[in-house]
Amino acid sequence: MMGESSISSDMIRGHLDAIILRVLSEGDNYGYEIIKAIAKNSDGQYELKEPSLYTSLKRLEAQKLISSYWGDETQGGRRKYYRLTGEGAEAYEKALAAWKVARALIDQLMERQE
Amino acid sequence: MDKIQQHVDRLFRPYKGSKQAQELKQEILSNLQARVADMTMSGVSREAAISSAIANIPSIAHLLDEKPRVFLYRFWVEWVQRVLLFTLIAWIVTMPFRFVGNGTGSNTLLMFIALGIGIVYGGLLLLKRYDRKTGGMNVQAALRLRKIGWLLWVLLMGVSLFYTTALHFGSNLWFSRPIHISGPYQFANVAIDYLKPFVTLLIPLALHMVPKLLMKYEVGEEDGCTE
Amino acid sequence: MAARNKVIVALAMVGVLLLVYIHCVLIPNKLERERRYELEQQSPLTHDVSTILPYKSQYMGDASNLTNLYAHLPLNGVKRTFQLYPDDLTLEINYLEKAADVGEEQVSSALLYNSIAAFALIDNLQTIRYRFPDAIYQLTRGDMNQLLHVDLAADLLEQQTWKKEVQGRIKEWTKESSRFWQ
Repeated sequence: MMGESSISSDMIRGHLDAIILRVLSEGDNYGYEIIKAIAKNSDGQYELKEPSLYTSLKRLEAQKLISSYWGDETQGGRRKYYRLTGEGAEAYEKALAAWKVARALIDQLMERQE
Repeated sequence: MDKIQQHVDRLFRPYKGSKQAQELKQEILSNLQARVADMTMSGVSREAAISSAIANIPSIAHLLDEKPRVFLYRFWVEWVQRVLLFTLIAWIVTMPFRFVGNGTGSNTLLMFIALGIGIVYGGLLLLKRYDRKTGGMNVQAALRLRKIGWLLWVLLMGVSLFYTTALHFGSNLWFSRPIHISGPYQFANVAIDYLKPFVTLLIPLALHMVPKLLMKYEVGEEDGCTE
Repeated sequence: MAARNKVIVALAMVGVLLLVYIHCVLIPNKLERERRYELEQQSPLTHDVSTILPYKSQYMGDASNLTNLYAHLPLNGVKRTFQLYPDDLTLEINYLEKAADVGEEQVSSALLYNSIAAFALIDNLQTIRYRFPDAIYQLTRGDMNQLLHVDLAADLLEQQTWKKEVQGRIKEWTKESSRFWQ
């Protein structure tokens, strides 16, 4: 449905945690809506698979960067919502800053200078 | 949403009883439902939406903790208790062997095993202060062990039945002579020779209970954790 | 959990009771029965004829059949060797104990009984000779028919007939059979 080359998918995987933290920094959310938000943020270029989402969420929760609570839906299955913790917000800012430094450095290293 | 429910039920069937798995199941189910609802809203047919949602989660094995935290003391107490119960039943069921004579050894062995397990069980009950002790236990490994246990047992049974048959009736079958059992005593002997190996059923049964009990005593989110 | 503990205690008690019952009642009874049965097999009056039926044969030449037959008859506790004379259709049994030591009266009736059984079961057996270190006891099928006033044949071996016709009269025949001692 949405295009996704394996190369970009591999490169993104290393930053999945930060990408999810970004979504949650904009408000509490549950699994499918997180996937949707990421697809929207990528203009439909990247779709996160559900198993990868659960693995990331679990890791983030174990690191206490996010916390979870159950929603009170009356119909259908119960939704599990995730919330950014204070540590999570800090970790997100750090990851973003680190990425910016790395991106500049990699640009510098990879782009041929005329 | 029946098809989704079915798919999720099937994914989680081996983990029935695990709290961790139940929570993950709820979460996965609600997300799949949200996906299908969203896709049908944007014009995809229900059928297509459901099969695409299902294709998203083909398996969950790697999503579950290999070693969930388990209330160790409670787990061991109930496991030992159940094994003790089964051993006692086996001991009583094989008691008539003593009367025939053949199989007295097996029955005595069962009695000593039951006695040993009983002592271990009594000892465990005295260690009540460890009631809230938890530790990581490998449920996947327990599931594998259970499978291996049954497999080996079936194999062993096959060999043993073949051996007993060869011993008693081998020459009759080889020379296609009619089988002749000369009286109730010999019949009892042959029957006991066939039944004796089934005593080993205790081993796969004991293994069989491990994963179920591990999941039963898994530490849930609402339980406080103590090391 | 607690309910299962009660079941465990109950099962353990049932097990112990069963064990005691088997070892203190059932097994001693069985041994006593077997002992009494063994004892009965030593006396012509109470011997169980059904144990010798499998050794029915037309010919006396089968040595293992004869040894097995005598292993299921009175006097089977006395050590013995077998000798066959097929040309004379004669069976000779050498007992290693003195007849006097075993008991003359008991030996006489047992030998008579055993011989009736052997002649009834083995069709072409004509003479049996029992050798003791201190005596010889010999009789033929003819002697036997004469003494019993019946033809020895397999139909005598039917349980009721045997009890009435053979075991019921063995005592009186024994009295008349002293002439077979040599």
